[in-house]
Amino acid sequence: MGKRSFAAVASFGAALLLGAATPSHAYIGPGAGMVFLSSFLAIILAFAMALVLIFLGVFRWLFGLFRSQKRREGAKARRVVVIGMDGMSPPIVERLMAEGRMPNFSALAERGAYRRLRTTCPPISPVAWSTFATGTNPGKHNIFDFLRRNPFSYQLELSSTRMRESTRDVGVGPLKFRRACTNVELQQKGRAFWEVLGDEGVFSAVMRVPISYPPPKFNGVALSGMCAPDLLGTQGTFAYYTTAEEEIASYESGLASLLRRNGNGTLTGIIRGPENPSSAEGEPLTVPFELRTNGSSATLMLQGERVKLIPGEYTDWVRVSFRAGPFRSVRGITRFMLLESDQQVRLYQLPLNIDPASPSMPIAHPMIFSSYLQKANGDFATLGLAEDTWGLNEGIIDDDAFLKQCYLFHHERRRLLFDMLGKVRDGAVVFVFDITDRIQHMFLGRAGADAPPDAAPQEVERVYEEMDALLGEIRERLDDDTVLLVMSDHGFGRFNRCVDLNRWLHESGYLAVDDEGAIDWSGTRAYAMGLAGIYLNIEGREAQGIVRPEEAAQLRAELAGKLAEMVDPETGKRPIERAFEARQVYNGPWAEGAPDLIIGYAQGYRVSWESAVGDVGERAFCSNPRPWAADHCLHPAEVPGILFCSHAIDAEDVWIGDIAPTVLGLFGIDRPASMDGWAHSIQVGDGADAEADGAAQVAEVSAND
Amino acid sequence: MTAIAFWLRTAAGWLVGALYSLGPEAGLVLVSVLTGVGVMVAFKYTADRKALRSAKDSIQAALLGIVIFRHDTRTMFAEEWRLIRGSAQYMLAGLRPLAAVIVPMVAIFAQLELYSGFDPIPVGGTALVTVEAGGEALGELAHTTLAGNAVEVETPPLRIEREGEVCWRIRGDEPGRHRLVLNVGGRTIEKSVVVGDGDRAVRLSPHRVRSGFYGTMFGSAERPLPADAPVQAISVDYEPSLVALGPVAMHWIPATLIIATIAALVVKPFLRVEI
Repeated sequence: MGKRSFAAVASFGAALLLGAATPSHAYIGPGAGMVFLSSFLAIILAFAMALVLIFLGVFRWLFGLFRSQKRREGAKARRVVVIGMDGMSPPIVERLMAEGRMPNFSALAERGAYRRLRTTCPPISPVAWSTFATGTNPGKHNIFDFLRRNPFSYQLELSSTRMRESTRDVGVGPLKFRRACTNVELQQKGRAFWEVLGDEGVFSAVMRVPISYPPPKFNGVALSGMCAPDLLGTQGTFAYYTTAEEEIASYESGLASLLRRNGNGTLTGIIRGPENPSSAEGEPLTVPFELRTNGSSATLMLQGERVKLIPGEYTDWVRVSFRAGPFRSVRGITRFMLLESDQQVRLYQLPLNIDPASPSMPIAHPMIFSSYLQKANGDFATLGLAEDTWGLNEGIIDDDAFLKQCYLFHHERRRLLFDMLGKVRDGAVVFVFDITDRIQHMFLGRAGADAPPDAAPQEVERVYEEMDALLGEIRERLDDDTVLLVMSDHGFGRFNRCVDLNRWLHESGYLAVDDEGAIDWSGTRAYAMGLAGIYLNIEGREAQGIVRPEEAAQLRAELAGKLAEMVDPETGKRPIERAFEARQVYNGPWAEGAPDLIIGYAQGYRVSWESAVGDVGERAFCSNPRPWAADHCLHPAEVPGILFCSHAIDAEDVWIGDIAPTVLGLFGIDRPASMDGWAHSIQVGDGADAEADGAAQVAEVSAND
Repeated sequence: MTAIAFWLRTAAGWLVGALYSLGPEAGLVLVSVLTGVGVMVAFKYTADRKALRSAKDSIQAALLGIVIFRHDTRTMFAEEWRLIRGSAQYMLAGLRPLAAVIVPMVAIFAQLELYSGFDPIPVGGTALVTVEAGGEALGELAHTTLAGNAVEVETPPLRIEREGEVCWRIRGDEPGRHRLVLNVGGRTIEKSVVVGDGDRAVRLSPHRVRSGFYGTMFGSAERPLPADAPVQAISVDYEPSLVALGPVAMHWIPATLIIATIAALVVKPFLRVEI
């Protein structure tokens, strides 16, 4: 008898016993009772709640009618769906559409509109998505790069968040004690358009939009995207376990540790978690695991769970719980991949993602939203930069392993999107997909340094086609009252040559180094940090500044001129198209925090890996040594994004900052005066337009500049 | 079926009796703890963890969804529907462990009823003894007598023709387990009766029945009546009992439910059980 048959017979028998029993005999024990009682309780509660909801629903409907009446004067759409596809490049999209390989994009362009979308300066995701969200130039939203320098310490910091130590009183009445705590603050300033919508009673679901960690409180739900950390508080730290001692090296964004062989043929390892809050030395919390190999496969035993490992395949998400005290644990989720189990055993582990079911950091608004998403859709990656480009960059995983994880995450996100499309029928849904950006970073460069802009290897073409299929599924779920916008924040270019700006500044006499090769701040007038910025070492602004404020303007102009004339001696090409003076391209209360010069690189060039983190390399120019061979830190005109709309748009020239006021306009809400973008007319329904306000003063640099 | 019930009853009686030898309260606590642990073990080895987890996730998602999307009545009703579906799935997922535990649990709880469900007749106290003919007519019971040692039959038989029953009131004179002897047309049938016996745990047998699964399993601790016996059942109506758990006195069912639930929740993380 099979398991199913046994279960059926046993169930039938149980049902028969229950059915034949008289009420006095029907008592079946607390254990079984627990199952039934809780289930029936849930059903009874569900019905009771349904009755209450029906009753309250009448009032709610009337109230909603009144509110929407007030709001909907001038509204053109009931729902607006904005799908972001990070880094999708117009030349590749246009070629694939022409070849008939992106039929859904073609249909959208034919029925509605397609534009190349002007991006920000610099064209980097945190900057561009912040402009998308706020409708302002970076001088008003305070995000100028992935990284920023601390002017007091010259240390690099993440530009999106700031950690602040504080104390909090805990307890009741007189029984209070003071407790130290760390607050995470979003450094993006200004108001996102979904916050404005929320003020006007329009609900929004904002999912995985970069620079949304921690998400602000507003009338809607949000899940953080790019820049949300892993459980270690980093932007993604993979783990690599190996029996080969010689492979235990220091990785830039990974932890390698030894798998120890036991006498019984098993192996043991340790997963390193976040810092132990009660350890004065900052020791990490750890969880041991055991590995049993069996031919080509293996079994991982972790906290009582047995996980089957198949070479080259990712496991499902595995929960890891780190005990941080008697009643406190920190939970993460991760996936493993067995890389080898023959002579040496090699095991790769994805960065520890914050467990969405029980988040230890504020990755969602409201806090329970990530739990809801996990319960409704299963586990999903919560790390902002979930695709482990560093694992591939550092040679731990191969192309196939990298692509597999990209698509695993992509399919998780599809589920989340479709869930939200089902839930939010009245309001805004904003969802950003990252897979296009990550795969292009790692594969687009393989098309060759001199390949035309629309050339792409098959891995990139596949992800574009995948996004087209996704678009088809999205369109099937939309009704006539919905306006769909599909956009990317920037395009893509090659990155085969590195420019070490700090070496060049040193060789040009602007930057001094000491005997150990570190920057000597007392003799430095300008230095580079981040992907696109050069800062002047200004007296009174920087801790050891030597450039007098009155000399700064002249120094900026001098540097901008010299940078634009720089020539790569190996190729004879100019690596920089233009160095923008921040004061000329930004305005707003936060513009003072911007780098003094923003570098717009030419095709094929980007700042070197050393210079990006503030180091001084050995040569001003070198070939890019890493698989990360495509980037977009170019002149903004070189890498516009895409904008598709389900309805016609009146404007030909659209800037990424125009989307926020345009969406507001679709809901009949006036553009806030602080926004720099324009609200464009979109032909909806009977031809009535969302009015173009035409009042904005766009301080952003023009793509044609 | 009667034989199965008899053997199940005997096995469960042995187990429960062994634990109740430590005292009535201790026995009840031990049986309840074992029940909680047993159910967890049954869940561990028989339940479809994935199905249980999926159903639980569905219920939790629905509850969270109701809170998060409370502004949208239509979405809230969709979540309500998900809640109902999830609850039904949870019940279905619980059927297999339920099937595994139901038979031993029923046998054990039937015995608990005999140990903790009733009080013996107090010394000097009275109780009714009822004999059922098994049909609507009294038949041979028209001429029946009842006697007992250490038990006084206080009243003449009260014959209820319509119900097919004959009743007596008896009084317990001496503590202990005694025998009532029923004489029906020359045949004698015995029935045990217990008179106040202090704090010692004692198994009562309110009924002695002729046959049948339920009659044998529930409410009886005696051998079934012979198949050709002229009566269907003999019953003594003991007073229901309450169990003292610390300062609180309650029926043994809620007491067992509470203790078993606590025990189950305590062992759940150690056994790594999904419920």
